[in-house]
Amino acid sequence: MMAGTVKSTKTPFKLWDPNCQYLAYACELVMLYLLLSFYWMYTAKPMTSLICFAPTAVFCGVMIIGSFKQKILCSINVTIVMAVAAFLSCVLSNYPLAVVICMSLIVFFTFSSMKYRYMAFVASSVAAFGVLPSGWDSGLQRICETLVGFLCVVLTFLISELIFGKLIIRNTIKYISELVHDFFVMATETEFEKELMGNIFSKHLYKEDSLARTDLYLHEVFTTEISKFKYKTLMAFHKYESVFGIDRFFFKSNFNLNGRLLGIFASFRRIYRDMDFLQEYKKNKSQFNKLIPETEAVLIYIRSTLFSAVNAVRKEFAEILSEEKLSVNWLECRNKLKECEPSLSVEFLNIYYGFDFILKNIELLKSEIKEAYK
Amino acid sequence: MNFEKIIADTDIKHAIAVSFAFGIALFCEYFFNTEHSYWVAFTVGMMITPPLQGLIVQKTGDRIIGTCAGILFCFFFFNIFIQADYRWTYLMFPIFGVMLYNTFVSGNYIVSVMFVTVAVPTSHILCSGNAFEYNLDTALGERFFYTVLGIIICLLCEFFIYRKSSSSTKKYKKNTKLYFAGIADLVNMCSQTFAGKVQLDNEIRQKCRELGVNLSSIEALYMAVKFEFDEVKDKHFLSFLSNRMNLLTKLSQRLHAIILEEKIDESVINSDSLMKIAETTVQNFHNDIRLLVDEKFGIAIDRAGVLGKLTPDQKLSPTSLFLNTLLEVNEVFLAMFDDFRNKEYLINN
Repeated sequence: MMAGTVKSTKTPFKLWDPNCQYLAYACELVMLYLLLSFYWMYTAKPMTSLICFAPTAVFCGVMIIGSFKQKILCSINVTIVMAVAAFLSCVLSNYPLAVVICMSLIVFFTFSSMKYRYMAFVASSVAAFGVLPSGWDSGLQRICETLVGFLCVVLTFLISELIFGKLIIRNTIKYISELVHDFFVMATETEFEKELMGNIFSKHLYKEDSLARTDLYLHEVFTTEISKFKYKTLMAFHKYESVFGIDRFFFKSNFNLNGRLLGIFASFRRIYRDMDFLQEYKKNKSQFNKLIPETEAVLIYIRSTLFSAVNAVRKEFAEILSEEKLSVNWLECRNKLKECEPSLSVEFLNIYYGFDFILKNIELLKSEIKEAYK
Repeated sequence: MNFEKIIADTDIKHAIAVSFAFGIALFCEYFFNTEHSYWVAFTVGMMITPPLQGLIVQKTGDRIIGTCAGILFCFFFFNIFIQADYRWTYLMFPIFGVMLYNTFVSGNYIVSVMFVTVAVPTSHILCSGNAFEYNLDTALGERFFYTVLGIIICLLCEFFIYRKSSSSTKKYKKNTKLYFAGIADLVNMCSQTFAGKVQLDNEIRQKCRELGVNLSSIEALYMAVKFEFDEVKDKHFLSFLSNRMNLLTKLSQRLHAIILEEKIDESVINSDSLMKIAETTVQNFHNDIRLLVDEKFGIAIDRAGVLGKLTPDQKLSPTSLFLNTLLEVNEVFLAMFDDFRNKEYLINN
């Protein structure tokens, strides 16, 4: 039942970082240090290490936030907290006990805040510059350093989005399309594992260490390879959903691309959700196919359409999508299930509607792909 | 304001423990008052602040290993390579990039500590303006001493002020309760939409996404729990719970899939009766979980009574599919607590 030759994508970091999001984070931070180094070389002034700590803390505190607007707002919050702490530290440096009390209170209030709790990373930097040059003028200079750090962080976010924005969106949709294809193969094929491996894109998902950060820590929870694979695809969906957030991007070109591919992502998500109804299909395959012989044709159709969809998404070319039409009237097949009445099991009901929903959403996917890549 | 209630809150307790640790660290910083004494506070900050709280015992070992590795790297890189040819300095940024990428991908605390141990003295040398007078060997020696001091402060605060202040096990249990509430909301919304009481809108879609996020966060916490000092006691319980939660997520996804394609068929069941079944399920999810574990408290729904007398056409309708899935959600949930009561999870593991 092969729909075509399955080749893995060329993404170099696919094993651990399929949409290159972590690569973007690492490059952003290096870029931030480069910017700060240029600033230091340009001004050629002795500074405190706050110029490095402050932007690093701001960056680490806000990098995982999905929305660009929220990211900037949180950066402002963190910068204000740090500027106040630095200023107090300079002004009160002759009164160590006062500094200790002030810093502890700042840390306490940051940690008590539930919403932005993860931003408490800033606390480590606040504490780290406990001993700073004393005086009001030094305090003002530290505020300036914090502000420069903040500007560098914002600039880094913008440059990074310009460089990596489209790459992340495209890689995510490619990865999601492959996962949906693979998940369908896993849910419907009864071949042995070795043959099955030849028919899927994400062979790496079988390895325990793949996507270590992204997915599976639950190797002891799931016992079979297939259940682990299924769980990984589920987590991947949840993980990469944030890429298609409405307000994630700042630049219009990225925003437009995101909007264009959002429909495809939503269709893939619907198909993926529908596939859960096929959970019992493998176990009941022979019985179900005997009752509705047209199932084989439906399987081939779905499989080849998903395969074409993966290729269309990879090459961003709607023409690759197969024009094949389903020759079976699935709605009429429903009546055949009545034959197994009164023993009609819930499994059969689930399987029938699983195929039914997938067929509906496959058409939606086709139109979305055509619309996006026309 | 109920002061006792506020103090009893886990997050407030954690905040007290962390701010106290910072206070002691800053006191040490002023007490020693050397060029690198800030490292005590920095160590405390890095050990007990997010993104991953807890894991204090695991982090202790990782921090020492990472610091030693960073110190060795600094020693060889600065004292041998850069002394031989200053152009080796340009290699620092690619090295930082590789370390950071490894940290982000694997979440490896040792590598992140190693990165910090290398990056901080470098930035200090650059920013201080007295790079030629800077004694790196002394700096690294001091750093090791202050790291150990910082670790001791963290451990003392963790174990003596509030033993479970940052325990991931505690957070896992708390998030589990939120997770069940999320499933209940989803079941309620799906049923209302299917029964035609409300329109399918963005709020429902948003709720489904939130459910996914809840699951991801619980999964991350499960990983964290593995390294906690109180993990052994609850290991089987949590493993079993994760498995069942995964099942519930799948079932709730099915409900969501149905409402996107189909509507209620009144010949099978009327919308009010459907809502009653949904309300019973939701009520079970909102029960106090401790009560469900301790005594028989959940309300079971008679499947045969609801679906027993249907004609073949009714049996094959989408309403029947929705009802079956809804009943399965309730059954899985109640069976899970039966297993907890009978300690089945110990046998299964």
